[in-house]
Amino acid sequence: MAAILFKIKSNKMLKYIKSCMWIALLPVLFTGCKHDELTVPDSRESYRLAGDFVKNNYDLQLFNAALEYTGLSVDMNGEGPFTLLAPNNSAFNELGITRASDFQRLNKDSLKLAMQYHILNRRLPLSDIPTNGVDVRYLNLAGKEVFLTFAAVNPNNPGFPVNNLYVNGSFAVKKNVTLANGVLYVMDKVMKYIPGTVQQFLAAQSEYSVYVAALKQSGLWEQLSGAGPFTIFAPDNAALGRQGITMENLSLYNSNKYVTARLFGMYVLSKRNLFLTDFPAMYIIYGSSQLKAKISNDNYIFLVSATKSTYQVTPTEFSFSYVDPDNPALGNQGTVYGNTSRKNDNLTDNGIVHYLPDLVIKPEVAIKK
Amino acid sequence: MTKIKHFLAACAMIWSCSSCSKVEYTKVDKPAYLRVFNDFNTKIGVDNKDEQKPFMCMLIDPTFDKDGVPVGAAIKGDYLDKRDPYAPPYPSHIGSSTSKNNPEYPGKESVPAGPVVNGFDLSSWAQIPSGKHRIIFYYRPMNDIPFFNLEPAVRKNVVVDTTLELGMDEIYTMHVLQTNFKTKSRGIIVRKENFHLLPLSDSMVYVNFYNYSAEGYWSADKSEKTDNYEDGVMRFGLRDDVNIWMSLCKPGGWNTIPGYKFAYLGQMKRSIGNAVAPYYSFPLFADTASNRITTDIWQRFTLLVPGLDPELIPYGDRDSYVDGQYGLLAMYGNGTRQTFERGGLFLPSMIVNIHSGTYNPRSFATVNTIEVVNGTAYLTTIQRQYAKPIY
Repeated sequence: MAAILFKIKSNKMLKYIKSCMWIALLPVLFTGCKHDELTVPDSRESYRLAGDFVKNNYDLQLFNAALEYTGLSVDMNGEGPFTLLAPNNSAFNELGITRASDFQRLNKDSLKLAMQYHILNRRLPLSDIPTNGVDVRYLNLAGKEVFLTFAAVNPNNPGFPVNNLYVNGSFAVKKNVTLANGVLYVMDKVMKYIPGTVQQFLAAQSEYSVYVAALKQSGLWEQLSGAGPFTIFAPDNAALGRQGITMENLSLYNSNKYVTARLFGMYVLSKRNLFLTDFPAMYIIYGSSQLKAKISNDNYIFLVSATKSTYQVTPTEFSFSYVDPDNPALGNQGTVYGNTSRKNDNLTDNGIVHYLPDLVIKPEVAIKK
Repeated sequence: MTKIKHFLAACAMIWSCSSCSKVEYTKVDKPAYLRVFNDFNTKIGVDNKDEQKPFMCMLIDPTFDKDGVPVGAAIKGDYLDKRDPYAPPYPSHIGSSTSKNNPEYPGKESVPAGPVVNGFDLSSWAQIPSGKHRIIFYYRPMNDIPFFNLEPAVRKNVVVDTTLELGMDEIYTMHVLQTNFKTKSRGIIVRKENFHLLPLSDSMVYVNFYNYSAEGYWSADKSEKTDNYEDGVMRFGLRDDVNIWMSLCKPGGWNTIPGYKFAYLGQMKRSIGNAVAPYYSFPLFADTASNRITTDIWQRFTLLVPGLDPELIPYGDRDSYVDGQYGLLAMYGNGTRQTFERGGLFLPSMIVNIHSGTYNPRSFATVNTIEVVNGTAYLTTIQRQYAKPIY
């Protein structure tokens, strides 16, 4: 600065600077005009309200139809804040809902509760979710808690974050969409919460009637009304029928001839609260995605695992197999795979029920020796 | 011209006046010195997915609101993560990490650090007021939100709650850890260090050993444990009683120095207590061929159950299931895994080699602590002051 000042010695230079300054003042003449209509755009205006956003998004049109039918879409344009875990169209298609009119056949109140279950009463951006948090619980508008698992980063490979978000067995295909009154996530699956116990859930489903009768006959039924939590891979009537077990001949599969803890009891995993997506999430967080343990009240070992292609967004596929302790060299046997997404991840108050398409341990393996 | 000079003089005056300010140094009266480690390292998987992740916040003398939620504390050690295998003599994590996760307390925390006591550099210890303190460790979610800004509901999850008396000018090392593998009980160890009170020579390297493994860890089924290749043969735990045999070797492999092949040091017993273990030593220049300025030897510790002879170990390098009878620690270079000693757990060498004075490098003896916790081992190195490098 001083160097420049010292340079300004000659009057010629000063005159030049003066004239420059006058020219610089010229714009002042124009800026003096009045601007009545000058408005600064509000940055929030570029974000839409939750209700409007859902309405204007083609992939969420079935979710929007459900919100409109139940009257929730008006609330979604309210103050908030909300976090929407919005199932996309294919998530509803999986349940057999393909058109907006299909919702008309459903009970309005229970649909409203189910939709409220997908909306949290807070703004939850991705950055607020604990890294590698497992079953972090957040309250939703239905007054229940959703289980959120955020497989963010593999600790052995911290340079490449994965950031897979799972909520109650559904996977977030699109995360962190900013709304004027909240945040939106697009989920690949409708979350299913059924009030009551796993016992009540199974009893109410006619497709599991043989399995329910089998559990009753084996003395495994009463525990299911307890605190749990239980994770049940329930074989339906068709699965049991394929192995020759029907309601008529069920009494033959009694505890005098069969190890019922193995034949029927192995599918009840007590003290466990497992959504199928927990397995791929655990693989990222802890490097292991397999559950290997002894069948309760038996010496056989069961193995459960599950995988999900998060790129193709395929349904989570589980595999359920067993190891014969007398012949461990035979490895994992009787593996049953299941990816019938609409029948899996049924959350109740004391556990989760999945659908098992076939028996892992066949009746002949469970015969008492 | 004079105007300009006056103007500059005025500028200089304003500048010189504004540059004076009183610096308030944080001062701790009657300090005790504290260093804290989070020793939790057990396996979490699908089987026990609901178990709390060992990510904590330490509060000293917390205050609570009416619901019992902590709202403030005299001292806070947030983001306390699982400890690193190596606890260096000075808090070097600060310069080499952008993460908030702290592998120890004070670690990355900006707190008054300890001074040099009897020649030992305590810059990895925090100064805290001596006297009686309530110390609570809380589990916290893994994110960057400071503890007191978290929602009250997640601020109640206590790991350990304890009250203890810290003496003036005493040096404490605290561990929060699992005490029983089956019951998952948690506990705390407060070790009153004595290295600054012992007549330790600066031409000898000292090391002591602790086994802070949870009760029942080594005997538990291996499916319940972390299968970490880096931990070598001892990855599934060590038995409660082991003998320690030391070998000093030249770099590049298993080339022992005469007189230091399987030297018997002593026993290590599993004990979750506050006692200080005895220090074992070896000369810094045990290698007679060295120039007595720098030495490149590495240290190898064989941990074996009583009765097993280190010359006749029944287990091979690649054995992963040694029934808790064998452990191998290789303190080599900067701790990176080498192509030899496949069954070893690699940690940095206990001899500090660094540019000091006109020598680059020059070797310095240190005081070390090796803590075995559940199938892995951690090294803490304490160094003395050394002369600044002259370039």
